[in-house]
Amino acid sequence: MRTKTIFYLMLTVASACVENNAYQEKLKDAALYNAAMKQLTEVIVHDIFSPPVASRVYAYPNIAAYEIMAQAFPDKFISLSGQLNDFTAIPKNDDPQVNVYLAALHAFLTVGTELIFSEDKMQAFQDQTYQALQADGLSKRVLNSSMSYGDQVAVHILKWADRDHYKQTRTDAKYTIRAQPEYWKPTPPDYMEGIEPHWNKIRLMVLDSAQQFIPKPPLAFSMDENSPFYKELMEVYQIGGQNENQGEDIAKFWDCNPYVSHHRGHAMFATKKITPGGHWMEISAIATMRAGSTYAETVHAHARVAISLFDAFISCWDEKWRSVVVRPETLINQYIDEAWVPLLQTPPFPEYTSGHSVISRAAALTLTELLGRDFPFEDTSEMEYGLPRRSFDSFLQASEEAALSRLYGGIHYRMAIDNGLDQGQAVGNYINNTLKTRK
Amino acid sequence: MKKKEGDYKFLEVPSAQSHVSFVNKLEHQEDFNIIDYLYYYNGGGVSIGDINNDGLFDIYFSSNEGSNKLYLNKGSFSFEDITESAGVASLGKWKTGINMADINGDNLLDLYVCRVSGYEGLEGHNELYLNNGDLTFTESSVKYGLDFSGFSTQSSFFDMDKDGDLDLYLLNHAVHTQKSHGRADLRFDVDQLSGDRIFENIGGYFEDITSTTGIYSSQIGYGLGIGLSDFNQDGFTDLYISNDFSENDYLYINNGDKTFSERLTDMAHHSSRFSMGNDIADYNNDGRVDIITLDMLPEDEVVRKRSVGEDSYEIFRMKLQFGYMNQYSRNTLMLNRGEKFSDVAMLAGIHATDWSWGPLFADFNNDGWKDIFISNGIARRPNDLDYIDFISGDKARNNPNLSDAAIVSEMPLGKVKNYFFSNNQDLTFENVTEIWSNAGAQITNGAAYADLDNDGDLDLVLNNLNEEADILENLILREGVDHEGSNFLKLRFFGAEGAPVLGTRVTAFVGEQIQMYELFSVRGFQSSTTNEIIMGLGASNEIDSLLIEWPNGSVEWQGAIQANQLLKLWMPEQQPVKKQSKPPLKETIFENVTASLGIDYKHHENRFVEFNREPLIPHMNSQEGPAICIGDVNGDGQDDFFVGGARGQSAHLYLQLASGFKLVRTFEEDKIFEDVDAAFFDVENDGDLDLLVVTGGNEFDKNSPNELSRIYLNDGKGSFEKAKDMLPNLYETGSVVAVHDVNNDGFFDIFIGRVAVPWHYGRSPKSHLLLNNAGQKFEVTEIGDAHFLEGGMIKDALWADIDNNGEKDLILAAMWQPIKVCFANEGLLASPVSISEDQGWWQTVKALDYDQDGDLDLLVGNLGLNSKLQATHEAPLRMYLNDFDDNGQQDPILTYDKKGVESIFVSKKDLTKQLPGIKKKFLDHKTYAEAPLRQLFSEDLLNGDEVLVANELRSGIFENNEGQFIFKAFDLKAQVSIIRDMLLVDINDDSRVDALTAGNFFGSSIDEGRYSEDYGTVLLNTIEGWEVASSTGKSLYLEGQVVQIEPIMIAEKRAFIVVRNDATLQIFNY
Repeated sequence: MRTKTIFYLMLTVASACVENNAYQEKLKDAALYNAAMKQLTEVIVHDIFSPPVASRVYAYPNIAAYEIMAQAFPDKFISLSGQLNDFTAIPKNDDPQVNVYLAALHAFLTVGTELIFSEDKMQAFQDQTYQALQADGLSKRVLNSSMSYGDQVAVHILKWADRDHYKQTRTDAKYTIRAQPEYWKPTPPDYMEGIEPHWNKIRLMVLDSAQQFIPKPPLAFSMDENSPFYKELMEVYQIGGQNENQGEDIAKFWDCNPYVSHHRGHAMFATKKITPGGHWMEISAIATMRAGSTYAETVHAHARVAISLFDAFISCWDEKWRSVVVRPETLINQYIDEAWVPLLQTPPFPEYTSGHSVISRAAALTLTELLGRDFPFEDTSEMEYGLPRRSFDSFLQASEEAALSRLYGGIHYRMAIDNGLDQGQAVGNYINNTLKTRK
Repeated sequence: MKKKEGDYKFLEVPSAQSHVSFVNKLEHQEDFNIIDYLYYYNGGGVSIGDINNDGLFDIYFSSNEGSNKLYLNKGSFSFEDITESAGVASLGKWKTGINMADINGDNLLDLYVCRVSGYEGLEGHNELYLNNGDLTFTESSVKYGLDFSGFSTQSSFFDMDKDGDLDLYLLNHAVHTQKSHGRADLRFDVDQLSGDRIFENIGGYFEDITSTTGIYSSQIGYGLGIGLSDFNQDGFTDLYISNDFSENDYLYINNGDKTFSERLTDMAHHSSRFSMGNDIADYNNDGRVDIITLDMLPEDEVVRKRSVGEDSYEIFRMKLQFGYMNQYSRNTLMLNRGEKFSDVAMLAGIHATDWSWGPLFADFNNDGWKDIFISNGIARRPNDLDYIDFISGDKARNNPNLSDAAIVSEMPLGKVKNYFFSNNQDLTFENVTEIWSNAGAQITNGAAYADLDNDGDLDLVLNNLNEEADILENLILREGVDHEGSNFLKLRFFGAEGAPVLGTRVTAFVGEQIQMYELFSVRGFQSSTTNEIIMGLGASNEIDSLLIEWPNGSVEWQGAIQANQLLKLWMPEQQPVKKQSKPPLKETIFENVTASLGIDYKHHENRFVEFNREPLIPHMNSQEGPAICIGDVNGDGQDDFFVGGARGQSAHLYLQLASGFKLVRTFEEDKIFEDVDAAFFDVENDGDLDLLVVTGGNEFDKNSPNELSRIYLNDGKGSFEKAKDMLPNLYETGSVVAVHDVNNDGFFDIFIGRVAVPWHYGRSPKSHLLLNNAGQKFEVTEIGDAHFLEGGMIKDALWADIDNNGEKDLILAAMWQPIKVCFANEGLLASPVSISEDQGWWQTVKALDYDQDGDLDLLVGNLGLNSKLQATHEAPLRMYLNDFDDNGQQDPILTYDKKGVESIFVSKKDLTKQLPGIKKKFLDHKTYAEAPLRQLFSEDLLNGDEVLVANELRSGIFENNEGQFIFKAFDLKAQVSIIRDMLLVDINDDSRVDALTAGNFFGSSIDEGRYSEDYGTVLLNTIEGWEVASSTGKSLYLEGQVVQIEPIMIAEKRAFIVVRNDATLQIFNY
């Protein structure tokens, strides 16, 4: 890192007499913005945010950046103010020195830094990025102006975010475990407490209420061998276990569990991955890159995807803590096969509906609306977690695979997948039809 | 000032002198390490015994991977390594516990070596090295049937069936944790490798008879400790087995017919969770054996906060549903109360000693009281939270092919000092680690004591991991040192014709003191000690008498034995005499008569978990019932009683008839109310007893009608009807009613005390004095200054004239407050004033002129001292009630003082669920753990709002000295649990009023654990003070949570009702 900086400094000195405008092209490049988002993802993984909370961390920074883009390109984009619940217009920029791309990047980083824990990691990225831009000719004046404006926007966004009831829900009651077999119980190996039982109190962005798209009710619990519920339970038992799992590649690819606890011998450790929402943010980056989207279009796509994820998580979590359906692992261990372990580790919240199904569908519909129904892409987002790339013909196909992966993973019944996809479809369609961002 | 060597009680003998250079060395191997085998760091053992009968104790060490070592004692702390010539190297992995016992009855000690085999490439079997009598040994395990192959921890030979030969309990351990917490009835499934075994010695061959003995032998038994004792003194050796992880410990009572009954859940309320080694001995010199078990709770707050802690309340309860007993991650010290145990480890100050392996009870300073040594330390801490959350995963992600070595190297080191605790002779111990020894932090697994230089004190031998073994010389009786106060008697035992001496019990009587020893050599962790007993005698030069109870049943008395000698004892060969029965325990005076009275009432506390809405509070306020009140409601001259229900359970009214009690009314329509206190008194002055019931529960939101207290009016015949609008609508969680005519208008007035504001632990609710307006209505009325009180979390209230002005004053006992009094004068009540600066978790207050000086003293019940929470005036408990994250909700933060540093009691996990912003500054656990409180929160925030303080947690008496109240704490024996009520009656018929105290409380947080260890205590009034009577005879085992004890006359006999939360009523005559 240090050598790099020195190298840049030398370049700066060497080219001091010639005006260096290389930074301008770099700032326009969507890759810069995607790098910032990648950094945010890194920190989300490190800090161990649960999937719904991670969706909140993705939403506000992207909205901050998008609002600056919308203001900069009024002929292309429409502001979200007045469209998202309680959201008002950002302060206007009247400083000509402001580079809008840099301001957007800065607002993104500032809001993101506020929402995560490891601020030093975000700060290091920012310092490094800005130094490189300065090496490419970015002046102190432009940098300061852009940062200053980005800060103003960040303050505006954070004030709005602060009233979304996130803070209040920290003190809300925890879930009291219910004894009846149909209700969710903490699962092995760590028996973690249920995550975010009050997430439905978080202020939605586009939807009117968390109950706007209540999915079909789950199948009635029954351990009668002829009951539909029992059949679905047996299906998980048969295809979602550790041995000879036909869908192992798919399940592992879409695992997206931010905290998998392992016990080996006396050693405990956690493997951490991107969340389901993080996976779709990554797909958004891959797809916009492949589509050759501009910086502004990229920000636009990310913001819309993040918004759909945000509302989809709330809708899904509302159902999870309403029906509080027991996980297959619990029932299989109790009634069928004590030694059975699902291929994936069961995440710590109720089963119905499948979060990955709901949010994948909502995000896929968003990307389909933006980039088209037939959009082949290679999903490389899990490669750094040691998993191969997978190819898809369309976003919807990817979302269907993501949904089905939960069955192979042994962590969801088919009903949670099918009805979860429907729920995500309803959320995604509603957002697509309601939110106007393109002129 | 730095201490000199001579200041310590123990000094290491240099290996240059001892020639003991043994090291249990572990070389890292990629295919076998802590990641492959969970007990990789459990280390080896020490076994001490005289293998050549030359009067000098020899030492055998086990090495996990290398050669075991046998050292012959040449005297003067000089040893010779005879491993090779003796043939006892026992090469190859993986050795664990070792033991010396005379297995074939030839009066020569043989060696038994435990191994782990059949796992991850480990091979072999346990080994028996028979002593040939010429300093050589012959491995003979196959011949004796002792070649067990599996996951052994330690062997313990004992005469199970009293047939004159040694049988074997083989302690084994499980290895896999894929489902780290399965159902408890897996313990019934036999596992061939990890299940414990019993072998019966049949004519010299050891037959595996496990399946008929009734012991558990399963894959969930993580057996790490074995101790032997005759708990019930029936002559048959019983066993205590410590199990790691989720499985209970086992206390096996030997039925005498080669079967065992597991009784721990009947005899104790909980155990250590990650139980390691144990030891069994009488540490308080009452003739009954006590038990110590070790766990891994760090004493150091920084290490504690960096390590995985207890489960949350919900998860803890869920795991109980799997069928396990309560287990807490801390050492236990199970004080034997006769038929049951009380864990007094926290009272004794020994509950937290970090990653501890082997405890040894031994009188190291020869003062006649057994001290404790604890071996300690782990090479790497796999439960380090930073390692688990951030290091392991991030490393592995960046490099999926990361070697085990690299992963392991990220775990923090876990060297810890071995602990020494000196017996204070009052149930407690003093940590004298730094005073007795100059050793630094190290890793010691197995340890054993013996008098290696025959000077009359106990030396120690330690098996260390990756460092040279230690021999610690005890300097108490070193030459040139004053021996005054360190007298001793040594006893050695010899069996007749090879009969085992293990199991011999010796009791020494010196003046009023007794000392009791049982001869069992396997103690601590993976280790065994000698067949010699050393009794410290302090300043006594003589033992008055010595009682020896031999394993063959013979009983011997020896009188007037001089101190400072070795007494050799041979087991009498004559036909065993029938063992004399013990003198019966002091006769109990309480007779449980409940069964004969026709009372079929059990309180059912409703399942409401206050921790789910206020996870940071130390205890719930929702389990305070049931209410009870006693009086003659139908005018027949007999005491009747009302008992309330919890939410969802109707209250009951019982009338006393000639034959007992009859249920005459259930208050079905009011079962939504949680009844926590009640009083019978005449509301309207119509000559009958009406009923007032105080509602608690703390469950409903404020202003819920379900929080209101109620009055029921008596029609004179014992029939009650709920009165309308007699009480004002006063909400908040009630706790107590106290009745008295304050304004002398002939009508009874009431004080209703309240304990909590729902959702706001620690906030003072409003308690009220309600004046009775001519029997029509109770009104909040201006009367003096005290009509309206924010008296804190009031638990008890009492009207008593403590200033001798002829008017009863109102005395208030509240949590986090001093005892306060509202003085009454001419019908007016003054504002409450504190009687002292002692702020406690006061539970109950009673008035009594115990010292007969003409004024009333106050007996007060408090939390007691058997708790992780300790408080003094210098080091108080604090509770900050601020809204630390500015979200409109209070964040109660409890701190305690640990070695002068104020420290947050709850885990970071719980704290940051409510205050995630803390992770902004302190994401990693190490930084958090090391940060002072005032770095976590600003001074402004900490001072910004209400701060509660408690500085006295002992129960005791405030002695009234002309209006000045001086606190005098009860004896430590009365501090083993929270005291919630007291019955003041003359128990021993000496015309002085005594006290029967009781309590216990289960609504505490998991980090605190249940307060469950009291069985009721009789405090006898001596006028000078209070003496704890040994009251735990047969009929006074008050199990569970006693909320009230009330006197009642039944068939004109004195009796009392014990009212328990979530349990039946009990009635005792006295």
